[in-house]
Amino acid sequence: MRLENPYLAEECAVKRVKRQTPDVYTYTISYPRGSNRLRMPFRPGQFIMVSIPGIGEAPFSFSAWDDGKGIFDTTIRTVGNVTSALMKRGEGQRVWVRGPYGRGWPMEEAKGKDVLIVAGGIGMAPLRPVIELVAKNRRSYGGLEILYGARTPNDLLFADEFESWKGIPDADLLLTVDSVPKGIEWDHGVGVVTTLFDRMRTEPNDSIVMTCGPEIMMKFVVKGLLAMGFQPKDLYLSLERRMKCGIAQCGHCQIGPKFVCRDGPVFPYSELRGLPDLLV
Amino acid sequence: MGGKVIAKDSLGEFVSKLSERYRIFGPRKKGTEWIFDEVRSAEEMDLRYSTTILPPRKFFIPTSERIFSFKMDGGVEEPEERDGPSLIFGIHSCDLNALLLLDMVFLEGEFPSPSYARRRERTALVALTCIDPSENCFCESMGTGPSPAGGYDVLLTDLGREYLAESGSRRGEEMLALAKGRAVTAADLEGKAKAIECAKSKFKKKVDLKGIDELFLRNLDNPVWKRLGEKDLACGICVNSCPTCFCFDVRDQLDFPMVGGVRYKEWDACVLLEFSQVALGGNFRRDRAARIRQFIGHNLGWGGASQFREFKGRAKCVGCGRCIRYCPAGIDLTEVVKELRGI
Amino acid sequence: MAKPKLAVVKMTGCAGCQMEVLRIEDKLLDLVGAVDVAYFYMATSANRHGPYDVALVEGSVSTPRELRELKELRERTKLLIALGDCACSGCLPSIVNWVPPQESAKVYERFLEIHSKKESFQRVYPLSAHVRVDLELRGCPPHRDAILEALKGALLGIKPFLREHPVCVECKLKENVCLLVCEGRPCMGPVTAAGCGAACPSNGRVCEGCYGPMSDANASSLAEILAKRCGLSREDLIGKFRKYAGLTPAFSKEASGGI
Repeated sequence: MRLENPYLAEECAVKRVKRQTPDVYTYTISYPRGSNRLRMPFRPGQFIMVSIPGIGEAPFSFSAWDDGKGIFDTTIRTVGNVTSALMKRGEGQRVWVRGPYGRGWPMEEAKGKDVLIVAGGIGMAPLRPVIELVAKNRRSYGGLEILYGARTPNDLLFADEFESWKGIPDADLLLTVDSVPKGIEWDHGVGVVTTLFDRMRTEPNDSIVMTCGPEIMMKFVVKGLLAMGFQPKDLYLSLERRMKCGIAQCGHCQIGPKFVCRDGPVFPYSELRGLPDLLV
Repeated sequence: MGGKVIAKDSLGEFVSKLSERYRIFGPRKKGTEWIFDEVRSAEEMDLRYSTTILPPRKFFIPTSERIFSFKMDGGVEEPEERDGPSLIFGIHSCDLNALLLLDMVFLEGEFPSPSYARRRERTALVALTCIDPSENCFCESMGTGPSPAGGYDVLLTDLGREYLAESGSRRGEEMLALAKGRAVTAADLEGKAKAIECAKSKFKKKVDLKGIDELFLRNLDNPVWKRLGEKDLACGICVNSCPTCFCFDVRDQLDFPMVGGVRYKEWDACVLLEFSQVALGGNFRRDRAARIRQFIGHNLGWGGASQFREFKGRAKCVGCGRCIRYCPAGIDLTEVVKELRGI
Repeated sequence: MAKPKLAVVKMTGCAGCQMEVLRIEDKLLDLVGAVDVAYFYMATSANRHGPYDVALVEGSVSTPRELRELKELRERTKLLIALGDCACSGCLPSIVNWVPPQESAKVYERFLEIHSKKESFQRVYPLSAHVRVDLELRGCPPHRDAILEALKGALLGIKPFLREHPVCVECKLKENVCLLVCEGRPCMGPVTAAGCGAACPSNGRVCEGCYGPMSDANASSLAEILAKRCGLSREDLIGKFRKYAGLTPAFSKEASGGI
């Protein structure tokens, strides 16, 4: 039997680039016609490996996925060689994509339960498909509450979608920022995202929490929610680690016995507790 | 499976017969040490070697390996596989068991590695019972030696003037058919058992594996890690000489006129600062203490945790002793375990 | 698109780093095809003044004139790359910082009449002490592959891959016998940045540390090991750590005798 080289990727086209914040862009990427990825099951929270030949490869999460059409969004901050090149080359460029990989958000476990989303900054990107999926299958889930914090109002992603999120039946959106620069109007909260806990309505029972953001933020989110009576098994976190293969071989993303790329990137807190090299 | 007893002075002839079919790699002296290197005759090998600088994994996961070449304007080419059958002669039990563990990572996962699979397939293994473990060896503690239970094509055991040669596969049977020798008797098998017992009496290092995954996870904040971090040079020697460490980096390399290049893998090491670095300089193992804890923990602690799917509950470490032998700072993982146990 | 303008400039150094640029040989024509070599005194007589897109600057700053030139160059250059140890960390010229003038006078008979000495600073520092440096190519000299990597990075606008891990990594992957552990010789490999391909240890000579400290150099631990295993004296250790990168934070303590 001939094994397939797992590093071979498909050439995809960047259809659209949309600026979210000064250094965060959403790239709409399309698989070629006839690609077998078109029918690929996709789960929010999974990730793909995107590369530009000669520059390198990096893991990105999805921020949207169009079922059956092979078109997806990825929303990323321009920080390294791959992301800078993506930004500079803009629309029309070709990129290599392989995946999706990993364990996504617990969309099945969350059915029939309230969903609480706690996001910080760029951490909203992998949670956006969760919101879309809940909206699309509204009757399968209970209440939806979104707590979203960022450094400043300018750093909030998907701001143009906030109104439609609020329009989802039985859904709330609470916003907060660390600080408000002069000249910007802001009539929401100021402070870290956990300050929104006082105002939220989601109860510990029959609910699933999904959080993504800086690990130090998630540490305080977990701490706060546990104190309110949420169970470790109901708190799901998406972790960021260095990844060079995405297929549990290169070893970079290991946390104790776990590979973030394969066993995560989404983990219930109950699986992470007591493991090394974690802030949470 | 069958076997033969080969007189030591017939070994050369056996090797030369094998060399007609295989490229042979055996232990060869290099300065004060040994390396696995291509040999053309039995005389070039030193079968009394203690251990080699690099483990045999270098034959299956080359230190640097092209994944594919590419052209900037499109087009990808996978490396061509031209190498014929090869044979590793004299691999010790620890290193053989290490390959069986690597198989779990590169063959038994969801995405098997085609290059690893090909190399494993085309490489015959002639193992050697270790009759003279070095002062740094502890394979007995790890259940990986001094003589392997399987995984070899042929297993040689030094019986004094002769070698007991047992086959462990059909390929091994075919290989042994090339050897001149006599039939195996009960006395020969007894001789092997005695050689193993004798070897076992020579081990100076031991690791108590009882509850070791819990021991490590309970001791993440033990001051021993901070102390090791102060001593540790983060030079990567332990990882690169480890027979079961499998981590690698993936990079692109452009040729100069920049019309094409290669994507390649290179061995990487968790004890290096850059290993865990993410965008904007974030690092989840910034301290040397956390990195040496990762190396030792992965090898003996959570590497052996039953939840660690890679190794099906077995420890990653095979007790070859290389990381102890070659550590400039004198860090010894068997001593670290004792310290964690408060001994 | 116009080809980027490249300058290769020398301060106080031995010109060995510039030689290494010329040693790119087989790729040199490709290089000349990709960039416009606007200033390279060692290679061309048609030198033009800036502005430049990329400048490779060799040597440390030892005279007021060099300092003036460096500051001007910085203003006229988009990407300023320190080429080699003298430019990155001071290297041999900076040893003067530790040597009282009387000591130099013992070596040079008519010390005060040496022209350059009269014109120069009392202390010699790397480029980064005076101007912003965009990239450091370490080594005495840097490996030609690293120079090429840096130029490719400059052309593509990306951060090049330079080895920050220790020489031991490259050395072990070449399966050399460890000179420190197996032969008890005072090798600087464990604290020195790689990139040379473990050139010295592969030829049976200890690493002298010419790439300066690796990303996470544990100088105090190695100093202890060198003293214990190889019998190095305090003076020996000072010499080892002072030679190429004594001014760097990672080596400064050991380079000044552990105080």
